[in-house]
This record gives sequence, C-alpha cells and structure tokens, in this order.
Amino acid sequence: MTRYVMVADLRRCVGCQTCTAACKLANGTPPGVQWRRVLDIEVGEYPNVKRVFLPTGCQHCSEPPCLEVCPTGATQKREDGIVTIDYEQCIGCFNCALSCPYEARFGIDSLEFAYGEKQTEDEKCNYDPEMVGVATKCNFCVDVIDAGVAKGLTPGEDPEATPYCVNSCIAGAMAFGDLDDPNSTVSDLLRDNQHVRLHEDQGTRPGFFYIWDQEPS
Amino acid sequence: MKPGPDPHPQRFWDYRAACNFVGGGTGTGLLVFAAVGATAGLPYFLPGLVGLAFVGLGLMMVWFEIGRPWRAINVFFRPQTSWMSRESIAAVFLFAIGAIALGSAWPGVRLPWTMASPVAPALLTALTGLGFLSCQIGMLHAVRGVPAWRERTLMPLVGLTGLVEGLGLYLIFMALWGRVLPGMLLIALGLILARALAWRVYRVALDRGRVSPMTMAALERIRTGFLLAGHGLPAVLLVVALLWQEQAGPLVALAGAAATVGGWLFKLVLITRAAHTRGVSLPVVPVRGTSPS
Repeated sequence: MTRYVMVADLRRCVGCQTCTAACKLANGTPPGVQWRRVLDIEVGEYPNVKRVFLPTGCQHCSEPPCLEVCPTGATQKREDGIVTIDYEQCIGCFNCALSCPYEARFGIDSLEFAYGEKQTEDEKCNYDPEMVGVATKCNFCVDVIDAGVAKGLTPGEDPEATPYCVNSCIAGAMAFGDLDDPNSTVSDLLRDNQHVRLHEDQGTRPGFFYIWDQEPS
Repeated sequence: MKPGPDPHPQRFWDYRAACNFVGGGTGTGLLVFAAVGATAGLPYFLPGLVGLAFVGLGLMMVWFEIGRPWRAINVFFRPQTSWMSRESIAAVFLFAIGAIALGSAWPGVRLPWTMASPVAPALLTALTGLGFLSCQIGMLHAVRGVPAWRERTLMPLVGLTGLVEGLGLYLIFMALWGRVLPGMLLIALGLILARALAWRVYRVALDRGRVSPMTMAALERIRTGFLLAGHGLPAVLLVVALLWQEQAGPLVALAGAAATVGGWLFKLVLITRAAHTRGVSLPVVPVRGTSPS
C-alpha cells in the first residue's frame, strides 16, 4: 500500500512563503485562495511564547470530515491517501469547507485574477474556470505525482513527481513521500524526530506531520 | 476574510442557509402539530400546506446559495454518510407524502386510502418531517470546523426549537379558527420550557468547551431577548390562556408568534453570527534553528 503524507520541519521553516507562491503559480489559484500557506503564529503561554511559521493546507486526513459530509461524491479519497475534489460534480454547498477543522477549503463566486481583468501568463496556462463556484483545496499536486509515477519516478525523491511546494522550499523544511515505505524520506524523518499533527482530538488522522524540538537545555 | 490562526466567523453559509434551518424547523414542526390537531378533528389542509411551503422555501434559499445550482441534482448521491444527501432524500419523500396528505385533506375529497384512517397520511407526513428535521440536526453536528455547531447539546436545542416554531404557528391557526385545544396549550408550555432548558444546557456546554469568546458574545447578545420574548412571554400568555379560556384566542396567537420568532432569531444568529472556526491550535512550542544541518 501507499500512503502519501507531507512533513514540515518547524525548526527549519523561515516563513518565506516561497511554497505559497509556488503553489499559486502552479495551480493558478485566484486572489485570496491559498491552498498552501504559511501561518505566522504565536504559540505557548507567557513567558514561554515563541513565534512559529506553520505551513498548512489540506491535511489529506485518513478520516476526512469533508468526505463524510460531501453530498455529491465530489470529494474522494484515493487509495494512496490523497483527498481530491471533482470540480464537475461539486455543487458548491461548502458543507465540506465548514467541516474541515483546518480551514483548508476555499471557494470563489466569480472569475478573479491577480491584476484585475487581465490574466497573467501563468493564469492563462493554469487557471481553471471550473474552480468558480465550487470547493477547491490542495491536492498534493496529484497530476504531478501521477505523471511521475507513470514514468517510474518516486514522489518525494524525484522532483518531477513531487508537489511544487516541497520542491520550492528553500530551507528543506518540507518533505513528501510514502509513509508506508519504511525507507522513504518521510518515514526516516518521522522515525528520527518527535512530531505532532493538528487537531488530533477531532479523530481525522491527518496526513500532515510537523517535526518540532523543544529549546535545547 | 482570509483564514488566519485565530477563530473567525465562518464565511461559507449566510442568511440563506439560516433560512433553510428556519424553514425546515418551522415547516416540519407545523406538519407534526397539524397532524396531531387533525387527530382531534381540526382542519389539516391549510397548516399542512403552510408547513410544506416553509420547508420548500428553506430549500429554495439553499438553492440560491450554492455555487452551482444547476447541478443540484448531485446532492442525492451520498446518503451513506452525508446528512445533506439524507435531508434531500427526506425532502422528496416529505413532499410526496405531504401532497397525498393535502389531497386527502382537501375539503370534500374522500380518497381510497383515507377511508380506513383519514389522518394516516398526515401522521405519515409528520413522521417524515421529523426525519427531515433530524437530518438538519445531523448536518450541523457533522460540521467539525465550527465548535458551536459540533457541540452535542445543540442537537436537542435545534430539534426542540423546530417543534416550538411549528407549534407556535399552529397556535395562531387555532386562534384564527377559534378552536383552541387546552391539551395543545399544555404541550406548547412543556416544549417552551424544554427549549429554555436545552438553551441553558447548550450555553453551559459551550462554556466548558472553551469555544471562541466571539461565539459566546454573539449568543449573549440575544440571550435576554430569546429567553424573555421567546420563552417567558409565551409561557405566561399560555398560562393565562389556560386559566381564562373564553378569551384565549388572542393570547394564544401572541404566544405562538413570540415563541416562533424567538426560534427564528436564535437560528439566524447561530448560523450567521455564532459560528466561528476552530482556528489553529499547535499543541507544542517548537523552536526554530535546532534541527541538525
């Protein structure tokens, strides 16, 4: 079996938002929609407070609450764990967006471009009008993964088969791969480092792990 | 508003979605008590028609809200897990059975199936209506991104407020007909008190669940009005009506209107104002720059 997951090393992320920009460029998402974003947050309680850059987006949960509520079957979970949306089936009820504890889903009502009515070159290439009026979210660049796998490449190891956000990370803070492969990068990282997932109390079993360290004593 | 780390108002469902919960609750509640009234010989056709109209208007408002209304047929495709699918399917049955019940209640009409029991279609419609209301309750509970909706104690509150809204309208019908049933007034009194108790339990649970202070503030803003105008006033009026039955009509109508409008206000606020997201909660305090290079 294959279970694709993402790992973000919070010790390394510098909050540069390069992954955010790469995602927008590759997926042609409209203004205000950030499938991959890096939150700049404060965690802890005074006086033990730290500023943390938290890459986030769809967590590709093992038990996706969005899938459960979707009335149309547009939201699907593939056997490799990637949660997808069929834009042609979605009716735009956004029950899924409300059910997502990670606020990973977006929706737009009309065509919008970064610079008014004129499309940029990348928007001409990547903008999908089917995204209007339906729920959208990160899909782990599933087309890239599928094309790479078809060529015999390994997602997470070969850039041609790896999500754009991971490829673009300047700090090596993001990793992608198969959790069920004990030799994958993500398996190594999770074996060797303490990690945490968001909103685990919701029982969603996210496919997005965060590596962290306490302050060295 | 862009999603950020802190809880913020959900931005996907607006007053149109709230109207679905208002229409669904009021309509099904009315269908339930119209059927109960029919067993006591009260007319069914008009309250039954208004009940179905409320449900239909609520669903129509949702249709106006969804992003791709011309694909709305797809909503039926996942009843295995989706309460919205189940609600849609329940609506189909509700309108089909409701149409039969209305046909049966049309003055002067005696359809074959009404010979054995003239109120049977009305009771079946009421049961289907309760199923529809249950689906709406399930829809709210399934929303894990909004703690105030996910809260388990909201389920009886939404169910009770639907029944109270429907019964409130039915009290107005009874007042207009000049046929106020004391038993129905007692049921109304009981349901109003039960709704007040459910509200209290819900508020306490939200406090314990540490939902966003903004959610609590939104509910706090309507607390006095909801409790006094939506519960206290109708309860007092119903007691007076029970004691002074010769003049019960106007009192009962006013009590019904107050109880109904109180429920509508609560649902409108619940969906549009008291619906904040979970926000981001990182349970650890990481430190940058400590990873091996």
